[in-house]
Amino acid sequence: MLLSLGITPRAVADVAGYRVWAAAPDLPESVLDLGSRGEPSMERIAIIKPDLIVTASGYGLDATRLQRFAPVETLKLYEGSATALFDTEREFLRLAAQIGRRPQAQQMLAKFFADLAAMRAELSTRKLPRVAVVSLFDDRHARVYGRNGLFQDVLDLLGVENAWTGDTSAWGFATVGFEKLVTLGDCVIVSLQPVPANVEIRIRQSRLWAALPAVQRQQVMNIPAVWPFGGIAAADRFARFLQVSLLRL
Amino acid sequence: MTSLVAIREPFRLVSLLLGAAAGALTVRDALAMLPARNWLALLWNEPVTPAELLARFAFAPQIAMALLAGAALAMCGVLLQQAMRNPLAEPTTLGTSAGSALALTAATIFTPSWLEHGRELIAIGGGALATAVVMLIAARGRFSASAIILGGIVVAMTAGAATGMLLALFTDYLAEIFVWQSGSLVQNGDGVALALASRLAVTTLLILAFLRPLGLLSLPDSSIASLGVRPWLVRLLTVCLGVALAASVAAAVGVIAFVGLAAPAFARLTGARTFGRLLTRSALLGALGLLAVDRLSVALFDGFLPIGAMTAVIGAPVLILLIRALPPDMPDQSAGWVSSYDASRLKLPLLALVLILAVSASLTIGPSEHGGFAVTPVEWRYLLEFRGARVLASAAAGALLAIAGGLLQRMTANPLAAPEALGVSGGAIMAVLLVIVATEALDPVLLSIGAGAGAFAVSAALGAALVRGRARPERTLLGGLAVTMMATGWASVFLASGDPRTIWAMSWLSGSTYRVTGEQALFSAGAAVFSLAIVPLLRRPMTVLPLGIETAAGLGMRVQTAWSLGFLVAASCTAVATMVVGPLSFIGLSAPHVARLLGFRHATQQLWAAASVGAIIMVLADWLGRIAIYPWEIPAGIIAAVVGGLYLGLLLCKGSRSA
Repeated sequence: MLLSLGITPRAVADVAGYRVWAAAPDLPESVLDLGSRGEPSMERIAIIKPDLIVTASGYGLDATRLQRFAPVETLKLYEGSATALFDTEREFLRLAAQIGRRPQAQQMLAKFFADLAAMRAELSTRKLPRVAVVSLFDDRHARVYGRNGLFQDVLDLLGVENAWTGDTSAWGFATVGFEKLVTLGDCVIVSLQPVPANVEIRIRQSRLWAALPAVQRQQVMNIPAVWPFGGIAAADRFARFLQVSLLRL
Repeated sequence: MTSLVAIREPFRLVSLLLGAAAGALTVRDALAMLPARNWLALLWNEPVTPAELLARFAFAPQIAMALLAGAALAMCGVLLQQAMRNPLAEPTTLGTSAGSALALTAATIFTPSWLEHGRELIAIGGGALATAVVMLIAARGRFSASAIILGGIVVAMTAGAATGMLLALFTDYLAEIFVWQSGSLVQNGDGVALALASRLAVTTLLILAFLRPLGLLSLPDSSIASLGVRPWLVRLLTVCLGVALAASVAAAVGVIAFVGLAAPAFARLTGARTFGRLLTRSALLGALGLLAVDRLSVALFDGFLPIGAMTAVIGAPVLILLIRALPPDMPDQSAGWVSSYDASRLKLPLLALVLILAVSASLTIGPSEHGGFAVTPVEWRYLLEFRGARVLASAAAGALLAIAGGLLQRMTANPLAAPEALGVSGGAIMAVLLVIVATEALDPVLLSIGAGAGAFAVSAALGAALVRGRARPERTLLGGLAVTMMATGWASVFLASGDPRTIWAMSWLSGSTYRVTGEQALFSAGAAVFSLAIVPLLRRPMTVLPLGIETAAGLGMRVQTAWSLGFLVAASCTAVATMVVGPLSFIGLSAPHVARLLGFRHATQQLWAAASVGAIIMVLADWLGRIAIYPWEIPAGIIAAVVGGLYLGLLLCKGSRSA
């Protein structure tokens, strides 16, 4: 979120993980690694003496311990009070206000919703298939995204029907066997990258995967990494990838 | 004996009901998928429609896999229990599953291309290697039952911790391993089921060929030898067959605990006495049981729960109920374990000195921002805050767990007793998971209270069982093990669910000291000092109880009271340590052994030495964890388990050789 607002953080947790799973916005080389997201290094935080510490709820970080170094802003995402996108929007504006960039944030949000509306208009000229958004971590199970999640909100804004209407966790996904994907019937599968190489090979050997209607009709679309629990930038990124994929059908 | 006959019939009935339920659920699910006519057609026609594809490549293989894996695990349990003469033995006790998990995890990270050729080979290789190490340790003790099981636990704990270390370092990449670790019968073709079927067939043929010598293992070693058979050779053969079965299952569907423990226990309750009967009946019960659990999981949770977690979650309470009815045929493992040989008192100050050195190094030396190490990279006022609390809490937790483990091992005369085996850690795990799931947010105060409440709830249950006078120490341990398995099952479910909070849960489960506060550290330190002070008061029970219940009673000891008191102290120590640094109870197993092998045999001295050893290991582990891959951290509990496990393994090899 800071990067979206044009601020390069001095240090973030899990630099390598960010580059693989979130990918954008680009993280400059100058950003220091703080260690894991659950246990950022207190010693390094003390040394770099930050002006502001931004955390997200859900990682079990004790804000009171961080407060002795700098003011702490805890983003309340996925607290179940509203939709994921609404949470993100509210927290984005709050953070922007905190660092004195609220106008930019409002501008960005306006552009985001306008862009999505434009994409929806362009997509509405076509007959759209239902879409299942999945992450593949092994050759028998998929993580499929649905209600409560950021992707669901983006799909709704784009007027695309999510093929997965089943139960999901508070974070908006469910881990299911491939056989559940079979029951989805006709739909397009959007597969988030990266898929580990060895998993991809064994998925290609799976007769059940091969039998999925989307696989048989070659309607599995790989899109680059998007952080499923991300903010406005992630939502925007997902919308763009999805639109390009759907227009290519 | 009359009570056994009385319960036999109900258990036969239960087995019949189990089979009927499994069959009915299977038929129901099958017919919901396809009409009977289409099922028949599938026998000679290739599947075409989605429903037919599912039936042929998902449903049928899954049913077959449940039956095969259940039977294989049950047989494996019978073989291992026969070899070790201990109904606590199960496939995971030998380190096979832990070895497989470590091999798969390492391969996934470092040589993913190897996995292309099938993870079965890698899992079997890892499982076999782990078991070979166990055998190496056990060879010093001429493959005696306790030598094997102790070696197995040590290897399992070391390999498990090493896997945990890899998982902690590469969290995001290993969702695959999570699913594998909690077991899954879900199939996407019939290749894996067919492969397991062929392996099971070969092993069964081998078992049939050696049925008579395998059956002899129920006799004492001397009787086997008098029949002209070498006991250790038969035992080795039995273990090899068991390991082959366990590794095949683990490779095919992941780690499914409990079946190998429960199926033979049920079979005994139905009255199976001869080895052959026990084997066939266990296999049948295991197959039907696993199928029933699988179908139940689908019916209740839509198949969301991983099967390994399901078996633990459903099976453990059943096992706890069963323990009361188990025939008391557990042979004494303690022979030669506790010696009256006393150590020189000179070593205790030496241990204290090592502890002081470790603490000072850990407090002052840290990584510098410019590479290398510096005495302190941060301002002094932060030093106490960052490191002081963690070091103090680590030392206290190590000491507390060591005292708990030492107490348990002495009171039960069982070298495998540990806080983890008592179920206290398990209680804490379950309570904390409950708090996480119920509250969405991660409130440190609530979580600490939860951990304490869970630990004390299990302790109270243990105390109640003791007061009723029903719980012999072995059974208390069996019950505790069941609670721990159930807790691990729930933890697996949570970790496999992919909830982003797994990052937090994993760090707590692996014993991270990251979140320790100053108050927590002071509280646990106070508890540790108090425990050290009351250890001498427990000297007499700790000296007399290892001699056996009858001897202790003969010497005028009120055994029930002594047990209740000892368990209460051990449970309290564990609860405090768990609240502060997570359920990293392997210190409780290894530290007392290290103390004993260093020569501390006298009760009070051994516990004090164990506490020092536990504190030293934990402090060093915490230090290493902070500086090894700065700014990242490796949880102290994982390092302690790896270091403690390796050291214990080495000591066991050397110690047994000199004995």
